[in-house]
Amino acid sequence: MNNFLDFIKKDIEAKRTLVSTMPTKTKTNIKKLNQTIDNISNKYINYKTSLVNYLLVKSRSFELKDDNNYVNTDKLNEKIINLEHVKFLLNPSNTYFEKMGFDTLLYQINNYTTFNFDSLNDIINGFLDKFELVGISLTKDDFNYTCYVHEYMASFLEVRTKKTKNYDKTAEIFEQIYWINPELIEHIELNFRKLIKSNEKKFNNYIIESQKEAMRDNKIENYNDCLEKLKSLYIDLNLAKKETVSDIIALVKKSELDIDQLKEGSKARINAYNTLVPKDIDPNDQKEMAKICNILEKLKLNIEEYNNYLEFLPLFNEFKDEYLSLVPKDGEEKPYKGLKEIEERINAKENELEKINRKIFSGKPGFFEFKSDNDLKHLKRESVIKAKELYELYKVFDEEYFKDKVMSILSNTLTIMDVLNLYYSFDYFKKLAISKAYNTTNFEEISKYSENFDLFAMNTTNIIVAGLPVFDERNISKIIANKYNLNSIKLTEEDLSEDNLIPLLNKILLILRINKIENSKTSIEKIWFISKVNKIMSSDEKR
Amino acid sequence: MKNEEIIDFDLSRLSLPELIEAYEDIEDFLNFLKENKIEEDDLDE
Repeated sequence: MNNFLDFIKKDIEAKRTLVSTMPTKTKTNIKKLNQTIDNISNKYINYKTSLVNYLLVKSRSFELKDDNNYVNTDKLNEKIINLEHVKFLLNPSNTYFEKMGFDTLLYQINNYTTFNFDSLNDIINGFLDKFELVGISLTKDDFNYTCYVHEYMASFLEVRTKKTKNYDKTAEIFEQIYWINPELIEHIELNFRKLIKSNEKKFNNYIIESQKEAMRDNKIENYNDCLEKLKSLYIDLNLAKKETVSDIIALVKKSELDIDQLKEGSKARINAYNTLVPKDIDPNDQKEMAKICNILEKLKLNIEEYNNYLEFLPLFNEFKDEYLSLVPKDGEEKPYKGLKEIEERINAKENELEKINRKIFSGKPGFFEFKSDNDLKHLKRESVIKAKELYELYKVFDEEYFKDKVMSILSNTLTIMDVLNLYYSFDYFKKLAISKAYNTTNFEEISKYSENFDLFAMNTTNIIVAGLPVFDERNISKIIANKYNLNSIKLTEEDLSEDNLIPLLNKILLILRINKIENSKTSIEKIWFISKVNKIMSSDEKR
Repeated sequence: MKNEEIIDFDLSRLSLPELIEAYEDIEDFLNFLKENKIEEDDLDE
């Protein structure tokens, strides 16, 4: 049988010459030329159709059956979500306040300028829902921080009770009050803070019951038991989610991975092997390469962790600058009293405000009735001034509250892992710290940083940060390079510099992918073929 | 002309890169033919 490629090469050459030399002077010439072209085209369109069908069948025969167990991953994910919730409830670092999610709501209400009126209502409803969760139905009488808070919340609760979701009237009241008392939202926040504080016992009991229930349902003994079980589940999940050859094929098809780079002789492949595979190892020696790939998998995790660390370095540096001078020297540890002091100042000022409010709400400034509207206006103004002062005091309280938590663990041996756990446990303060460290007030940007931070803090494969002191300089690049030099992988500090981390990660991935493919039922050439056929099919579809 | 029918060629004898090369050659050639066709309406006798 003839070789098709040889045949078409010769045939095409001959027919190109024929077409190029045919006369085109007269219409008859042109008709003849076009007829010849049509005949040849028809034949070659047939060739193409048959060839494409063949390519498609062949390419499909190279596809692998899914080598990933999705059912397994789904079940694992479900278990992890459950245990993460148990971990959240049992977290010994924070209190009912964070576990109830009040810190997240506080952060939102603090950033109310980012939202519209509807979102503000959602935040207020969020607070009210949490009270209802523990069996507390707040009424308008509970909102007495100022007369304006009372007026607004009375209207708000009326709509909430009716479940109409029509806040038009509330919006009108808001607007009327806003021009007299622009800090209304801040004072609503203070009212909620006060109510949370006075109902602390109920919230605590609710959390204790939730903890018991969650532990019972998930067969968890205590917090450490939960951490251990989570760690083991994450190991299983990472194994199940490990990139498979099917995943690689999918990436190639989506043009997210250039298969040419994996081919023997490619510049990227030579470069990766030269950097990461010891000179005395034969890349064709499967046994030796399996050992190297095992080491490279660990290096990959270390680099990813280091990369995460570098992303949040401004945050760690901010923490260091803030607390270095407060690290207790040996034998100098004394209890920190800042929080207690500010709490006392807040209580005293709230009592003063309450006295003024009592006069306003009762309609009596003292033993006598108000002499004129001016007396009432004066008292209202005074109450707003007091509430404003309290808002400033609560800002100090927030700082002291977090400082108190920091002081309880602060020592010169504090590690980055400790700081990760600390900020992970205090969402509100994490976001404030992010805002400061990255010099941004953009809500979306802060939320994105916060999400990434939590993922970093939750990562059970973190190993470098566990021993990395906050208050001591360590050359992490050198530590990683030295570790892998012991495994004969000659890395330099330069290879691990911030700018080179992603290129290094890509080199590792390249070698791991080559190894994975070479140990599978398929080959790089077959995947290259699949990608080519895929491109042919999609360009055919576009026509 | 029968020997020019694709059915008479055993495509399985071609390597994977050769199969793609054959497709690319055909595609190039079809483009060449398209470019060399002359619109008959535009021409005077």
